[in-house]
This record gives sequence, C-alpha cells and structure tokens, in this order.
Amino acid sequence: MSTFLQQLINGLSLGSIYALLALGYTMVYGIIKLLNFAHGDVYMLGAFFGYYTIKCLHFGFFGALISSMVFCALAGVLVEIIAYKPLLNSPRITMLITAIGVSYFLENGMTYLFTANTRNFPQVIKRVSYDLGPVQVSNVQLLIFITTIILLILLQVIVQKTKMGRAMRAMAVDPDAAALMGINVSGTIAFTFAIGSALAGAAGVLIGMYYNSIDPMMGLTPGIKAFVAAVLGGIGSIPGAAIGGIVIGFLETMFQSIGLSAYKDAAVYAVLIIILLVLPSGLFGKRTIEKV
Amino acid sequence: MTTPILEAKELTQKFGGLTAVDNVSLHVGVDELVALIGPNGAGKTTLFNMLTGVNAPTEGDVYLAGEKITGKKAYAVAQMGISRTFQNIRLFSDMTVLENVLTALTNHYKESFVSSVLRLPSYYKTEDAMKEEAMKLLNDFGLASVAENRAGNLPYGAQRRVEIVRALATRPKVIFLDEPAAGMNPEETADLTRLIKKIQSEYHTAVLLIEHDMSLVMNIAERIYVLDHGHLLAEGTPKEIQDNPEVIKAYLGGDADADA
Repeated sequence: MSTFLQQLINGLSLGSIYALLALGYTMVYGIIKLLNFAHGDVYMLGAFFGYYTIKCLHFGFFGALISSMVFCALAGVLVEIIAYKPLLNSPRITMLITAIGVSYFLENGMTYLFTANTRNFPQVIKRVSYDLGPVQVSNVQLLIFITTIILLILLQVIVQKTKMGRAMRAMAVDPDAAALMGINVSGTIAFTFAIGSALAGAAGVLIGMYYNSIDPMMGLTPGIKAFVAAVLGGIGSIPGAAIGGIVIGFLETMFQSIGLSAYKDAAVYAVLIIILLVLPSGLFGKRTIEKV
Repeated sequence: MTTPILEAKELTQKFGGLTAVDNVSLHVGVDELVALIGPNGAGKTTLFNMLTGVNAPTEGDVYLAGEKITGKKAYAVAQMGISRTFQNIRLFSDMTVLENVLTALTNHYKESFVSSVLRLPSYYKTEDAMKEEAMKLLNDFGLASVAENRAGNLPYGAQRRVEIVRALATRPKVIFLDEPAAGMNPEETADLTRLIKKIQSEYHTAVLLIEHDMSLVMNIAERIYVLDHGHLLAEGTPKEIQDNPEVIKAYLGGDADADA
C-alpha cells in the first residue's frame, strides 16, 4: 500500500510535467489545427537554457525558471514565424511534416552545437525529503507540483479573463469570423505559441531538477507522451490536457512500480491506440464531424 | 453627393479562367441603406469578400472613407470600420453571448497583459467599461436577458441578432449583412426590418445588404444594385429596379409582372 501511495506521489510530479507540455500541444492545435511535434524540443531548449543560466550566470531556481520561460516563448514565436506562418494557408499535412522537420532541426542543431553528451543539471535547490507517514515527498516534487498549479491557474486566468484569451477562444471556434471582427490573427497565433512554449520551458527546467540529467534528445519521448496526454484529454481542450498529463504520469509510474519498467512507454502508446479506437475525441474533447 | 463612405472602383475577381465578378463599381453613402441583389451565383458573396478583404480583387480598388483598403488583411479592414454578418451563422458558439460581443470590442479598449494577469485596478476598469458597452448594445437589441447563455444554444432568430450586435460592436462605419432574413418566418423578418432601420438611424452606420427576400429589400433599401453573372445589371431606387425590364428578365426569366 505504501508503495502504491509513493508511486502516486511520483506519478503526480511526472504527470505535472506532462501536463505542462500537453497544454502547449493542445493550445496550438486548438488555434491553428497543427500538431506541433517540435514542442518537445522547445522543452529541451528550456532545459538547456536553464542549465546555462544556473551554471554560468548562477541564477537561482526561480531566476532560471522565469528566464527559461521567456527564452522559450521567444524561441516558440520564432519557430512559428519562420516555419509555420508561411504555411498557414497550406494543407494541414504540410505543416505537420514541417513540424517534424523543425523537431529534427532543433535536436540535431543542439547536438551539433553542444554535443550529444548527457549532462548533470546543477542542483540549485538542496534536495530534502519529508516523511509523511508511509510516503516520502521531496522538496523538488513539491516544487514541481506547486509551480504547475500556479502556471495552470495563470493560464486559466489568461484564457478565460483577458482580451487575448477571448481572441484565442474566438479563433479556435472560427478563425475567419474572428478576423472579420477585427481580431489580429497573426498576433493571436504568435501569442498562443509564446504561452505554450513558455510552459514547455518551465517543464524543461523542472524535469532538469527532477531527473537531474539533460541531453539534446530529451524532448523526443516526453514530447510524444505529452501528445498522447493531449489526445487523451481531448485535443483542443485545456483542462483535458492537464488531466491527461497527470493520468499519463500515473500510468507510467504504476507500470514501473509493478516491475514492468521496460514496458512503461509501451503502456502510454497503448493508451493512444485505445483512445483513438474507443473515444477518438478524448475525455473532454468535442465530437466534431470533419467535413470533406 | 458627399464623399461616399464605401466606394468600389472597377472590381474584378477571377478564379482561374472563371470571372466571378467583372468590372463592378459601387458606392455607399454615409448612413445610406443599400441592397445588393441578384440570382444565386451572381457573385454577390464574392463581391462581399473583396470588399471585406477576405479575398484581394484581381483588379480594381476599394476605398473606405476615401482611404484605399485594397490588399489589406481582413482584420485590418475590420479595424478600419467594415463589419459583417454571415450567410450561415458564424458565432463563437462555445462562448457566451456577452463574450461574443466583448470579442468584437477588443480593438477599442487598451488592456495591458500585465495588468490583466495581475488584476490591477486598471484591468477591472477596462473590463467594466467593455461590459457596459456590450450590455448596452445587447439591451438595445433585446438580448440582455440571454447575455450569459451559450451563444450556440439560442434559437435561430436570436443567434442572427447576436451576430448583428457583434458586428455593430466593432463600431463599423459600414455594416454588411449577408442574407440576414434567410430561414426566417414573416414575423421574424418584420422584426429584422425594424432592426436594420435602427442600425441606420440610431447607430449612424451605413448598411449594405445582400438579401433574397424582395419584400424586405423593397421595403427598406434606399438604393439597389442588381448583380447578374458577375456584371452589374442595374442600379436605382426600389421603384426603378422593380420597373426595370432587364432585372425582371434576369429574375423571372422574362415574366412580365415582378410582384414585390
């Protein structure tokens, strides 16, 4: 029982990170119907930026977190402007393939610039574990969890209560009508990329703290898992992505705890297949009929 | 005649080998109520799309209050003062009626990102001012009681009205109504007629109306343009149009009496 509870705690921390990543997927999909497969690599960029700010500029945790979020927001917007904006009116498959290209570009570009070596993420916060009855919680886990909650609340405020958020929601429903109501379409898209990428940057720094190691390929698998989380929650739905992320985190740690570590990734992909077969619109997605 | 608020000069739109709109010029005066009619496929919607910046014309130019707007993006044209409703209702159906209107008000209020996230007093001030303007509009059009309802849940006629209010919220100089009476019963059409007159008289906004319902058009339009096969067939007052033999021919295939 105590192992189970312990895994629940571990799953929650890992799931928070997937949730942060899944939000970026789902928001970008909601607004321009693009599965941004380069999103996991933005998270990698965030981890590297955090690594260097701590190591070279001696930033503290919060300094690294916030500067990495800003950096990733800029990087995300740059990717959008260079790679996706010229293709906005192209078929969706063109943008999808471009996203895969951007992903490879970022992974290999970073490998070229910084070598493929795995490096230890500097531990700016001394790890302390608290005993809570049968389970142990580390301060890093708490930090991940609390940071995620704060970011989720902030995101909710932005999307539900600000003009920009209203513009985003309007564009998600009908981009053409939104434009004809005077909403700046390219500005809104750039803003969405900025917000999604900032969340990925935060996730990058948090995972660095948690797993203590980063490398240029680190974004690949979490990126795909976050995509599964977004699909599980119903792609396009913000609460869905958050819950999907947590569920995937739980699932992965549960598989590890029952001794099937080798199959934890397979379990996540099995979820993708099952969801697509049984509930294609996800837990919170709207069932829409694609008109051909 | 004073400077028209909207002027289109020799607009042509070609799609490949097809000329959908051929050399059409039109103008709408300040606070004027103009209708654009024509059989299905005459190019009315194509013309609308050129005027609102959705498609750039192959040839010709569009001027809004004397300023050239050809080639500008749709949102820029909307910000400059052209707003529209759609033939098929295109509300932001997941959002509330109030939010739909607030979205259209976006450009008229400055709200800094920082103040809205931190919820500084200036955020509440802007938000209150926006809500007040939106509620006033909704109130004027009898929609105040459904302001918090999900737009997609309203009955058809009410959704049409919300679309008109949303278009008005962008504070346009000229508003385009694309078949507002489509699918309405006579009673709803009568309501709509009053509503369109109200837009013109109380909001001092010029109206360009595409409509198939001839009783509505003849009743409220001050001037009518008739489009057929991409050409401008006729222009004039409702009376002149009703008596124009070419229009009667285009509409009724040669039948004599155009009973409006």
